[in-house]
Amino acid sequence: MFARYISGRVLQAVLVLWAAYTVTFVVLYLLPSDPVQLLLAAGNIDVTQISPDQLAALKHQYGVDQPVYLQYVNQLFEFVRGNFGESITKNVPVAQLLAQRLPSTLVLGASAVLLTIVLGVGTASLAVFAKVGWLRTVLSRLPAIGVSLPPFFVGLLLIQVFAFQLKWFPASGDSGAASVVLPAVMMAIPTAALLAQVLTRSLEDALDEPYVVTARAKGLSRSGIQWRHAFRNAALPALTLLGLLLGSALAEAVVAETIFTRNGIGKLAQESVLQQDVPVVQAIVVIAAALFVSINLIIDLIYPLLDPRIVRGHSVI
Amino acid sequence: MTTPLVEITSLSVTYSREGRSSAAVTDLSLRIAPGETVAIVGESGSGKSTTANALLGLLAAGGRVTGGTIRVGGVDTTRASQRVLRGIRGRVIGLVPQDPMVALNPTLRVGPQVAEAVRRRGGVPKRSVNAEVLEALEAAGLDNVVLRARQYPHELSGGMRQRVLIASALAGHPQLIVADEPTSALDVTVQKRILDHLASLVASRGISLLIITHDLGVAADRADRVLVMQGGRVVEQGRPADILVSPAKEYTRRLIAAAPGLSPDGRVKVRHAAGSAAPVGSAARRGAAVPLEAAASRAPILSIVGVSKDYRLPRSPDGERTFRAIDSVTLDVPTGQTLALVGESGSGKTTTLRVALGLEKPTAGRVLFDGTDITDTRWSELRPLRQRFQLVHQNPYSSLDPKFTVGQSIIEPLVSFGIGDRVSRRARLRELLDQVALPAAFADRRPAELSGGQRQRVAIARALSVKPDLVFLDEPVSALDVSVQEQILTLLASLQNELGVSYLFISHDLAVVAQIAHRVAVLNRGAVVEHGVTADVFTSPQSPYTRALLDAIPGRARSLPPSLPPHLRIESAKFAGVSGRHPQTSPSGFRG
Repeated sequence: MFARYISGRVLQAVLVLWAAYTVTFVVLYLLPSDPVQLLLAAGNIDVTQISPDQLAALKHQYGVDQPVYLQYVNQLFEFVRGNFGESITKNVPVAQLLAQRLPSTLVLGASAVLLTIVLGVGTASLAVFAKVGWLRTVLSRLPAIGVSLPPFFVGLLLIQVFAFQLKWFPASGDSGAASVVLPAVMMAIPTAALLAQVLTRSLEDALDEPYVVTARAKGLSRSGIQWRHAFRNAALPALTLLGLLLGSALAEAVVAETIFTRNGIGKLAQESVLQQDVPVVQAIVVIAAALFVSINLIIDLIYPLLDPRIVRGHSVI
Repeated sequence: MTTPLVEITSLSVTYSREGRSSAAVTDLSLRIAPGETVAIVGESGSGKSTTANALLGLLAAGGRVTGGTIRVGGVDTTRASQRVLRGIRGRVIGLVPQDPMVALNPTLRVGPQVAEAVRRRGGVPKRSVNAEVLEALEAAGLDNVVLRARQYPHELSGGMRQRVLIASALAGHPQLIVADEPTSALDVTVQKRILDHLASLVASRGISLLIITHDLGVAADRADRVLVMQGGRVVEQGRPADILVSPAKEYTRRLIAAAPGLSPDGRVKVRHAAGSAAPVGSAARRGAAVPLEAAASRAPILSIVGVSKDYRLPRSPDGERTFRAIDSVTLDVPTGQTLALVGESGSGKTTTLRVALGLEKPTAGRVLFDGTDITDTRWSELRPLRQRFQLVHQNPYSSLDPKFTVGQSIIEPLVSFGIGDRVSRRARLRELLDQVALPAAFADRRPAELSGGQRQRVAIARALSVKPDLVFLDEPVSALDVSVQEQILTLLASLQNELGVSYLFISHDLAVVAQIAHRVAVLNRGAVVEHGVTADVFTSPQSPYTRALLDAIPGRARSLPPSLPPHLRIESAKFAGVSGRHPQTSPSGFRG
């Protein structure tokens, strides 16, 4: 039963990846006019300046003289092998570019995720479980503010206060652990607020469930009821949301890396889109999709640990 | 006299919400002696569950004790701290909650949930916790306890879950068990087994039992003392024998009348024995012959002929498996009359209904509506015919769109079939509201403002709006209080007389069916085990399963002269005023 569940999820993940690749291919190669013209424009060469022979040679070099379906299949095959082609503007292999930029983004992303979970779960738990009435009220109102603040505004505010005035953390760059703090906080605030909102709500709902009354009637302690009975049941919707939020972390990294001038994947994506560096954009989209898919795959695999009903179906009695 | 275990003195409980407060319980006094079984009976909103919750210190948010005291074992718990209350919960008072389907944590195995109660008792060595859990599960009447302890709640049936909850309550070794409507969500035969088992357990262990129920029949069968509550006040109390023989209040009389097993001579009333409500008797049955034969001469409105339905089960190592939900079911709904289809959960009654409605294609057999074969008709071809048969759902709380007004809900079928214009629909709406005895002003209300009975009236009006020939009634009263059930059944019967509409009435409860059906078919494990005129089914049931269903009707005594067949025994023992507990049948034979 469990093996079937896992293989189903993995197959689904592979399908999503393939679909992401295909859609990007279609959008990038078929919608804008001529890829070679894009290449030449990127190199500041006018089409009229080169001969038809040179054009044909160029087309052959980048493989765009082949029929579209062959280009698609060949490139898919190369991607599976881990060969992402060459950047048009930077004249280096895309894989090398990714290897340079990815670590910085991964560190930032992981810190932001960790912060999101700590802030989100902490706020929600205190907002429901705290014994002090006013603290519960304050904490249950707080996420609404966090959700409605635009991230770039939060980022500028953080720079103003913590970098320029208090001088605790650097305002830009990506050297050292201190430089991660402000962008991670900026990324975590809206996601943690959203997570806290959903978790607060489902914790409140769980505490109203009849099985919590059963647990109270057994004479269980407050914390026993809260963690053993309420939290486990309330965690599922929050976990689903967390998967979606983590998946979109890369999109937020673009904003964060722009504001804090960090050289990560987000910055690279922004540059490549502006310069129409098609191979790089294509590789980044596939990497982003792969991240999204694997995070949600992990979450799909955590589900049955929290809720046995997902794998162990109803028995026929 | 021994000191009472629980002593409630002039208790008042108020719920306040958004500044408004309403009294839930007023001036209630109650004593429960060790080993005594007490029942609190009343309709929803009578304050019976609030009383039980107050006893455990588990009042819902906004609830507050505004007067009186509660003493448990001599200790005042009215304003006690959570610490004191936690010591009482589980260890002094155990709770068997209302709905077993939702009262267990779905993410934890059964064993650990019972173990929590064992550990709370304190002083239990770690290594003997498991043994204690298994012992409690076994005492609650579960078999295969080692497997059960490892299963999750969703892998158990409703009856088994209720036994797990009983095991949790027992595991704390309490002196009193509060059973809050412990079985209202279960099938009748399961309900009877569980209540009997609970009663015998408390009797053998000397535990006191407080039963909270809306069914006077359930209370009368088991309690030493009954309190009848209405609007937060105790209106009557005493031994069941006294209350049943000479109820002092009109309200109690209504509750007695509403409990199908409690008619004064201890028999189930069969309404259509002779066309009117009369107890089953040979004279009545002679009288019944004429109208039933008259009906037989007309073609049935709906014929289900040899219908079987197989469902595919998930693949297993031994290949494709199928589950036969219903097996060669043959039924006729007589025109202008009521056929009741009775069975417990899993008997196939819902599958039969879905096939008859054309929602599900049968694996074999035919369905004929008014002579037309509708078995293989496509959706679009069936649609014009759908005007002629309508459905009333089980749960009136979820079958009405909360955003629609009552009027919108009722005329929705007319709009959907494009019948009439705005003016004629308005007129039809007024007519329908009048037919189901709702004030015309209700047309603009929303479902949330209505009681369960009122909502079911709206659902009935909606089904009747397109003037159908046949109405499918899927457990139309099982979600309602007994006294409201009575009113809805009476309404359905009078609508049938007035409009000549036919009913296919699905129910798990034979007692309910007796009041409305002309003919009864009993389903068990997908097959019709009994089929006949209602009076015959109740007086001389052919199948042992029907007999078991009849015996399970609450309010029917179990210790009676053996000369009478069990379903006809007059409850002489109860009315002679048997004090103490009824003799118990062996609990070991009962398995939920």
